[in-house]
Amino acid sequence: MITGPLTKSIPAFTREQLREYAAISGDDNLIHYDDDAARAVGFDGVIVHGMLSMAAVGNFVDSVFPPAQFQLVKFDSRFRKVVYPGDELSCHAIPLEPAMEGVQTIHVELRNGRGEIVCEGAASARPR
Amino acid sequence: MATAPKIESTFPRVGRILQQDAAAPVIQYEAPLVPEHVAKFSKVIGYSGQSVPPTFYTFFRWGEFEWLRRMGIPLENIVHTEQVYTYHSEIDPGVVLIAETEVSRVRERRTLKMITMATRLKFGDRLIVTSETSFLATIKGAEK
Repeated sequence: MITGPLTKSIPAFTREQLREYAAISGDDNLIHYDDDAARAVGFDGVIVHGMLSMAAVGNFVDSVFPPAQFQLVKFDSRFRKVVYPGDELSCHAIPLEPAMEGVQTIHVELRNGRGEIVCEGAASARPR
Repeated sequence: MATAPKIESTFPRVGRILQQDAAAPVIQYEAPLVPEHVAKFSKVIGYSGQSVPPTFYTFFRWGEFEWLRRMGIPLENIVHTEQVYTYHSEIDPGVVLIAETEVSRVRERRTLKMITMATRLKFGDRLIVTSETSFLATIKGAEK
């Protein structure tokens, strides 16, 4: 049973990581690796893929619900704010009341260095 | 104006296209779950586990991009707002899944279009993962 809030700092994303993620994921939107293209649509520079932020939260979820002990049932994320390479980031989890019998659920957040929630959602897993 | 060279994927993410009739509500295609692809994806996102990372299935978003192309919406005009994965059953890499992508909802409000797409990934008749992706898209010409 997961108890109490959990927190973990995660490494800031790098520009090189964004380029690699664009190549591996197929999301090659220029706003993720071309500053001029990103500025043209109103950002300060290249922005992190939402799905790369969610992947970082997924790594955190994996540590809360180790696959050897849990089977992931659902994982969702809403993208609230833009993340830039170099941004300080941390993951947070709070256990929620079970919505289904035998399934544990946590609320998860990714926050930037200013404490703003950049993406949040929930993850549910069933003990093996 | 873009100045960086276009990034090209180093390998194909999907196999044969099984259904892409413009009149059909679903685009169906092969989604090979290749161990090397899982390993490369894991390395890029910093995943150290031995399983398939929870968000790996974004690897098979080709159907979503194809629907956006058909709808005339450039990638630069969209913002990814929400992502939901439901994991129905587990499967080890080394198999070819079948992906079916459909546009499940479209709503318009002033200059924005809210689009939700659903992709079902199956192995035979067995449902493995359902992915729901929501976008906000700027409607072309609406800003004028």
